Amino acid sequence: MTDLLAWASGALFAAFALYAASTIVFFIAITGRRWRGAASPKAHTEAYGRRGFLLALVGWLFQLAFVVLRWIGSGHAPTSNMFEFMSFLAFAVVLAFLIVYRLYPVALLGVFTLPVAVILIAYASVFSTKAAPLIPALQSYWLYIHVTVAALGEGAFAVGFAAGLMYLILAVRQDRRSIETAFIEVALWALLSLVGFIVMSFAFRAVGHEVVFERVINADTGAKETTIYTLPALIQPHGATKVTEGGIPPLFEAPEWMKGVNAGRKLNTFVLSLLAGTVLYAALRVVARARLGAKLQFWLKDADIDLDLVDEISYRAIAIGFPIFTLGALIFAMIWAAEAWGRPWGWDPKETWALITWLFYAVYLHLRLSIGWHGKKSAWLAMLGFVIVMTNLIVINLVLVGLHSYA
Amino acid sequence: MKELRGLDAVKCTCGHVNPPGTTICESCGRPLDEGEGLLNMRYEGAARRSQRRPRSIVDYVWRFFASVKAAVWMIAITLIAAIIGTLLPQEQFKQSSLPAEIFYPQTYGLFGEIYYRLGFHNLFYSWWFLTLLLMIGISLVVCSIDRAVPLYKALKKKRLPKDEGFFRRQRLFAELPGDESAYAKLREALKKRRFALTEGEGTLLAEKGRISRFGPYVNHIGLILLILAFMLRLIPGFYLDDYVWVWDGETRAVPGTDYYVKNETFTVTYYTEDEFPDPSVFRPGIVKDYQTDLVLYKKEGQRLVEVARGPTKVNRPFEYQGLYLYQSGEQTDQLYGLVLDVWDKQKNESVGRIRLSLYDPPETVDVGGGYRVNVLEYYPDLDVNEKGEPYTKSTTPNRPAFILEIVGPGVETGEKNWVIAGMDSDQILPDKRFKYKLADLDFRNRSGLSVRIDRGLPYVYGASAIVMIGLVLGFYWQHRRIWLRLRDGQLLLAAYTNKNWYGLKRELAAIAHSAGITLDMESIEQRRKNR
Repeated sequence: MTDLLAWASGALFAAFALYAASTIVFFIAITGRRWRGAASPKAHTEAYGRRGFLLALVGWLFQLAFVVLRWIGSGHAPTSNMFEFMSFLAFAVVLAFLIVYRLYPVALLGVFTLPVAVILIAYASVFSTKAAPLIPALQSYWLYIHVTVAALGEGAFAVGFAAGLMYLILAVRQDRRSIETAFIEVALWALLSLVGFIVMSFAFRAVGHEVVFERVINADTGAKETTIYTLPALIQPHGATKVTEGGIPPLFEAPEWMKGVNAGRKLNTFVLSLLAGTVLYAALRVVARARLGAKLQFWLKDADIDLDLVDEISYRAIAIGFPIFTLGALIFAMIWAAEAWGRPWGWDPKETWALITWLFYAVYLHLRLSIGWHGKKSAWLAMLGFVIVMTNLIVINLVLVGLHSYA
Repeated sequence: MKELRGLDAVKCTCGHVNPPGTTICESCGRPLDEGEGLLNMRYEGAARRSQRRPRSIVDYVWRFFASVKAAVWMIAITLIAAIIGTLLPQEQFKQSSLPAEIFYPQTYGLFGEIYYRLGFHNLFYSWWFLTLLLMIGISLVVCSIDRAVPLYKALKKKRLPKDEGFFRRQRLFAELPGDESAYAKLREALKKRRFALTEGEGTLLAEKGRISRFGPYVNHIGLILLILAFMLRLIPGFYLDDYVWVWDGETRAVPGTDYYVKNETFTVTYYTEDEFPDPSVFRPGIVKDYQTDLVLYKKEGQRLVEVARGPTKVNRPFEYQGLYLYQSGEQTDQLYGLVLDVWDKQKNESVGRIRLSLYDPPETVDVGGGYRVNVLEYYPDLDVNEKGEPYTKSTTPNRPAFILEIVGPGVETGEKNWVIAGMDSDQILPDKRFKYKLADLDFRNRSGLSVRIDRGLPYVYGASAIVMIGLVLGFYWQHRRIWLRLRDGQLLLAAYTNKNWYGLKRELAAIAHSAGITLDMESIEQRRKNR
């Protein structure tokens, strides 16, 4: 059992490395078009695009091996906690990419989609990677059906997001400052914050950093609640005292009205991530000496790509994902909810957010198909849609209390 | 996208009279507007009821609900309201016995107060949220009828456009030198690619995947049915949502039905170390399963007749004729009852033992030796009022007390006595012959069962299936049409699809190639303006 799980971890790491390599090869496919010794730019892009695709495909096969080994090793589909689900989402993103790439062989799509998978696997690995048996609520074959199908739909939405971002990077004029360039910078800064969070998590875990806080929760009995920070404590829990000696004392205290479980620690993590994102962003900006969006546009403008095609790819990915998402995240969810909780629908936060996601993409489709929103407007919506998807997957589980708070 | 409003009937130069609001002649395909940009082919340029000049209230209401813009706004408002509704727990999930008006301000401060005052604590069942959903439902019906009917008529008619403007103003358009044989070759290539061909008056229409155009309407019908299926629960007897706690060994009425349920045993099983895939994270006390073995009875006269028995587990509910019992709560090792030794002080010996439940005490218990104990009064939470009379403060057994009467040899007329938890009977009424000594405490498990009847469920699933069929038709099929017309040694070629233009271009290139014609895929695409 443990052997299988160890093999599974190895396979996931191989997939991670291959996705990263594929990203680089796709990047070269675009930026290396004017290399000396390269054949025609078109042939260069095609040749490297093929290699990038192959790397992504092999990486995906390794991740498939991970899914299978982990499934056998743990006795259940690897979709039961945050680590398993987030890595499965990366699996779905790459699958959606492979399919969309077959329809539209555009190397640039790889430059934007595969980093999403890389970040998702890294993010997944921040959570506990240990395999645990299922709690009674999850012991149903609907866990496999509902969660995997929903993730496949979300994977397609991720490709729609990546193509939307790509469209905006290429289409928004960077020769002057505008609201649109500002929003692109905000989006990149948010992505860098996520990267910052992942890097910090691993760095501080590697050095074994730990700060412990205690808070009296019942004055009569003297019962205490301890909170362990694995990241540097900038904001301490409300009304808590630091137990660990030494180190820098926290600068702030979490506000009293934040009552959620471990609210102080979550706020601390969130603020630190934004700070790390800001540092990364500032550093890159100093190096680039331009808006990051402008720099990216400068690198990628060689792609010589038809913008209308990018617009269509983004829409198509969402159009492919929408029925799958409906089936997995709403219909199968209703069937399982009826079987497990005795009602198909109960306005639990996670259910509600699945509906919000669905309504949002329904609005996207109507605006595009009936009102005629194409191009930039459509691309902004594709990006916002994926923000909603990720809100449901991360924020709802970690912040709000509900029936889905397993991880 | 300008909509044509309030037009009168339009007569085309070809002589055909089109209903008001038509933008492309139904007969010859001539664009009826004066524009030059690409034609809007969305509803084939057919007239819709909502474009008529409104004459009555009905027309105005129709026009409102037929507007996609209005529908998008309604969906957007619902969406934003739903987001706000998840910021704080809804009243049903607040996990506190405090009433809502105290809970929200106390837990979330001013924000909680405002949230509660605005009714967001019970958003999803509020009249205005339900009204919004209902309005979206109406919009679905009206939009579908307004568009699907003219679209169906237009597509069924298989218009063969003769007007050159129709060709020139398609997104994919090519004008090629060609003759009868080129025309025939293209015709053959189209047939090979499984296009359905219609021909007449010098025009060829090739199409496939027409069903895709109806996907959205099938999907919308499914959504309407889904809303109706959820409304079925308003019919009496269609829906029941209740809850019952049953102690081990106890039989209780199933609320809202004629049934009784007995909890034979309630078991909690825990994972063992060897069941852990990764033993390094094992810790004891991780629940593997909750299960209640239960028996279902129906009351016939005064008797309970068993109708079914079996287990109910999480994810595997017990079912009998549409009545579902879900394992949804557990309380283990709770104080359930007292075991009392009935002590005869005269003989200084025990008469026997009685068990008294604190939740459902028996009326009378046979002690043995000809004795019997009657339970005259039971106060789960004993207190004394100003007049010195005993009463119970609540139904929770915080301070249980009984008035018992023993009848038997020597006490034929009965002897009453108090039993108060935590007190010796001798301290209360020392002169009595019999006293009750606490011999043991009865700890038991209690199983919480959700009681559900939902006869609308199959309809919910049926409607969901229709939604899915509509979505799959609409998104995974594509309606591709190619028009071909030979005129004065020139071939006019135009193509239209509802999605995936890239795919259509590739197919068009393949068709042209197999007909021996070279088409430059970049030059045949006319760009949409006003991006």
